[in-house]
Amino acid sequence: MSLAHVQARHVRLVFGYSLRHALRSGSGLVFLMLAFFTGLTVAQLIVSPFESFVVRNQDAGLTAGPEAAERMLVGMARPLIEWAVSPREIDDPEAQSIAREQTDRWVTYLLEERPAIFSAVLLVLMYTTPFLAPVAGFNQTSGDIGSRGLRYLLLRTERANIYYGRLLATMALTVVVQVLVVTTIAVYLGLRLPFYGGMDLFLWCLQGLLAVTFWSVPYVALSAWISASQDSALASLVICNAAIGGVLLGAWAAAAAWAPAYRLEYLLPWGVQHDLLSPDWSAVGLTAAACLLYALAFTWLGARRFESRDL
Amino acid sequence: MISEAPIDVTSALRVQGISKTFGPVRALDEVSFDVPTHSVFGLLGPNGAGKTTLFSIVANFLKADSGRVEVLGQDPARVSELRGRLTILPQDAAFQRNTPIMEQLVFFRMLDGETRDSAETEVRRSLERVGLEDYAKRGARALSHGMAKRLGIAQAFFGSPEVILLDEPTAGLDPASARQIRDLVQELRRKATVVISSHNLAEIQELCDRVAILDRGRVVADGPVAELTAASRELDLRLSRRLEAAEVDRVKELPGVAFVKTDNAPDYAIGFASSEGNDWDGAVAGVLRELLDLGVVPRRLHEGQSLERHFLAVTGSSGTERPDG
Repeated sequence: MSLAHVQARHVRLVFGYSLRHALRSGSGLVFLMLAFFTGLTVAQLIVSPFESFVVRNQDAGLTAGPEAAERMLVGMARPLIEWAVSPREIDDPEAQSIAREQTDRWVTYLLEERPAIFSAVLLVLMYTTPFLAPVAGFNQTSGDIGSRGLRYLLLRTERANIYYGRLLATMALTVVVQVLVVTTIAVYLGLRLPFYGGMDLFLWCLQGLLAVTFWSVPYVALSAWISASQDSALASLVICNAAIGGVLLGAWAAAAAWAPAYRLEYLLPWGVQHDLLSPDWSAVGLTAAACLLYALAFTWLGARRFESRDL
Repeated sequence: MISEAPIDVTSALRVQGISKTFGPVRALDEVSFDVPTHSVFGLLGPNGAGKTTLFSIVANFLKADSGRVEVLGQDPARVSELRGRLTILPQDAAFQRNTPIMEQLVFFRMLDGETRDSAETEVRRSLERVGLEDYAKRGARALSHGMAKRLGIAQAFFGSPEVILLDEPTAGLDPASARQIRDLVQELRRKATVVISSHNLAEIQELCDRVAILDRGRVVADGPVAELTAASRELDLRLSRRLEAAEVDRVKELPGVAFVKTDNAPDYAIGFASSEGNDWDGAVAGVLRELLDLGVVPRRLHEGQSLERHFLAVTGSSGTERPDG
């Protein structure tokens, strides 16, 4: 699909109309509610053991305060976070040692230099938000292809304008919802865990927001591509989640049999997205660029499919 | 409104060797015909003949496997060249159920290049014209099938289109609405080129200058309606009484008469053989004189559906059902 066919006015019209339609038709609201439900559930699940610990200590007449509880939580979270951020396979002993150092630094950054509980929430969101992206993108075009509703548009504007306008609307909706969810979680943690400084939480919330946004965008573009290939919204949703989950589970399962197979993760941003929470800003920048490249590749594939198929 | 334009003899729509396959089904097979500018053109065929598929290819919804389509000299894939000049009433295309129809139509008009204000004014007028002004703020879920069809027609008549494709425009409409659509098409005669697909052969015969008949994905007849029906003209009569067998034979022996259908007596259909030099008016006058001589008075008399006879003859009344019409 040639970008020469794209007209800014038409993309803008399609964008605005699609955004309003997403909210009105209910799919946008479902996405909003699911995103909030998931985000707040994750936050609650992580905060609950911490609060139970404090209450148990108080009941037992112990003086250990919230900071001690946080240390307990950090101790529990450390192995999980080490697994999440450490490199998968390094044979060279010297490189192993460097990688271990980097991992230690990274874990320290997430658990000690940044609000640890918020870090844990972000790491869990890293594995849940990719499955939410299809809820925003699965029906971008598939429903209207099935109902032939697009036929009222096809003599009025180029297919490229429809595809890009709708994709931008889906991405805008995703970003706005993620901002609301992450901000709500930050406020919730700030209220429940007053020992975190407001500025610390705010800054980490900001980086968290950027991370969630960058790792969500490729999955939205992937969902839009799948949506453009299907005539049924339900089939599109199922295939999106099967593809996203299948790559991750497939990589893990294959790596259990043959370690280098973990590289299957790189079919999607699974293999790189954790670097968006890295203490090294150059790594963050490179990963953000990689996520954008994934998004561009999926967008190109989706637009090409939409241009060439029967509608 | 659509302005009067001089008649142009060139083709508004040219279809050349179009083929399209859906899996094992060959929906269109080397279909070719031309639609002259400012004509009303009918596309006929049994269910599954390929009419909707052909419309969809002309409107660039579907991609042809081979062949070429030109609308006003342009490839229909070049949307920006044809925007506002080519419009369509697609068959079975749904409007969005929850978005107010006013908002949907204003969006369409803004894509056509109108400003919001002028789009709103025009949409309001169009909704009044098709009797849907009370539904402007409601989604398409509130519309019946007939109402949705009228809404589809409203959007096809926006602006000043030069070529309008109407896929089954009166299917599912009540008689008054169907009449309204036929009147709209009559208004457009000589102002725009209209291509209509329909199962209603009387409607096609009333409205169209030319037709193409599709059967099993192939064009089996193509030409002016007058030429196609000349081969099988027919007179429908209701008589004051039933004819005796001998009387029927006398009518059959009259010059130019090919057959007399007596199945629904006292309603009769009289077919006239058409050949070079046959005088249709003279033959009709001869039949009427004979009936009056027999003491029989015609109570009702009109030209019969000779297009239907031609249609059934060339399609073998196959009625083969295939997907995507």
